Amino acid sequence: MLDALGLDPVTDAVYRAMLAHPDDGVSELCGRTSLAEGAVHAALDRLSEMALIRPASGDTRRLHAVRPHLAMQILLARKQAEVAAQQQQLEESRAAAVRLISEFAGEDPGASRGDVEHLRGLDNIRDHLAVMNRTVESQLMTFAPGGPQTPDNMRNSRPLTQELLGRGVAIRTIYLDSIRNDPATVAHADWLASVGVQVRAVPSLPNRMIIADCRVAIVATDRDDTADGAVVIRTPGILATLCSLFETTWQAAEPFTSGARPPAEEALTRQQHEVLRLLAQGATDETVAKRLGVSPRTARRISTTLMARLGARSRFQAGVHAVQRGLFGN
Amino acid sequence: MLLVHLTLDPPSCGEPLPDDVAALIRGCAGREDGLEHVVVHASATPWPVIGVFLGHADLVLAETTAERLWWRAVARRPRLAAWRLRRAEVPLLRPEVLWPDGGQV
Repeated sequence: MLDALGLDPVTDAVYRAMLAHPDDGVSELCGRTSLAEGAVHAALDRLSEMALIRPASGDTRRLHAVRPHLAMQILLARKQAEVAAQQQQLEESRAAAVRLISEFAGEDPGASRGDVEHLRGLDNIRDHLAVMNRTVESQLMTFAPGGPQTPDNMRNSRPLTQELLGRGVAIRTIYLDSIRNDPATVAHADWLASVGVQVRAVPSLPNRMIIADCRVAIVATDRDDTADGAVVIRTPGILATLCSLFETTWQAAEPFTSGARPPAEEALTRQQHEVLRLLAQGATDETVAKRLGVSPRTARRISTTLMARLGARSRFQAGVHAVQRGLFGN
Repeated sequence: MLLVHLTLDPPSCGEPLPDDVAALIRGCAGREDGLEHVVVHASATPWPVIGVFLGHADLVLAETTAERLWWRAVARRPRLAAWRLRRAEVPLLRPEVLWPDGGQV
């Protein structure tokens, strides 16, 4: 009966087995659920029926046919399941790696002893940076003291930069003012800005340092010889301090492009600034309206104006674009 | 395994779907189609629906396979052409039924 919508245990078991093993056919489901083939077929009948109907809003007795749902929703659900499976695999690999490291810990003088790890030599540092680049999720903050890089180095770094940006990682780098004198570096900085990296410069920097997601930092052990070695820091208290140092330096730094400062038209009203900040956190128009004390209609109008101005296709993207363009920086 | 719903427009005379339409579709499937199960919801409103379970992980492939099976069935039983295929789509199962604690959608 269409109005008897309770999920019986057999259907529940079949459905869960289908979710957990999307590649299974009927015979595999029989094996997994220890159900007879007839019972599995009956459960599939029921699942098909349940996908067909839903209560009409406001009237639980009447049933309406489900409108065709966007295939995207289903693809998204499947993608989430795939990501979850990959995540689990990753966790298992990580656990195996930890076991392996602990087995050999006594033999490696450079091995981790907790939240702080010493790296000796440029190769070790580069290995760790490669891991950091693969695992960073949301933001990469860099103090880049020293002179200009070679043109080859700068060119070679572009694919990695694009890959990180493609994954949605926000990149902020602070150089020294002095390398403004190097035309190749200025051209590279312009390229970085054009793809969405935020680049600024200050007269001096304390040391070479890279922080990923405010969870791990790599800091040179000798500021005068940054190839000698580095320290990997995962101690939350120290990281909070380093992130704070980066933010303070960032606020004081100047944009580093041939065009120097962002155009004046990008200046935002305080209200727009606050709306963008909220959108970047994933707030809905309703939430924005409440925070600003305006009607949802007004909040929607402000959001759509900002989206159009920032060339964003969603509210969240508007917030992200604003972060990438440094609109929160001043 | 994916479920594809074939939604059909019945003929104006109100003729019901033949009783053996599920068996007919099963008979049209080859091994490569990955057909696992067919169920007919003849009295679904507003349109009758045929649920086709296919052993495909790819949504587009499952939908095109289900549609192809329908056209093969029409070729074998030309009278079925009176039921116009409105769409062949993977439906979304009712989350509030399947996950009672998950709230409404």
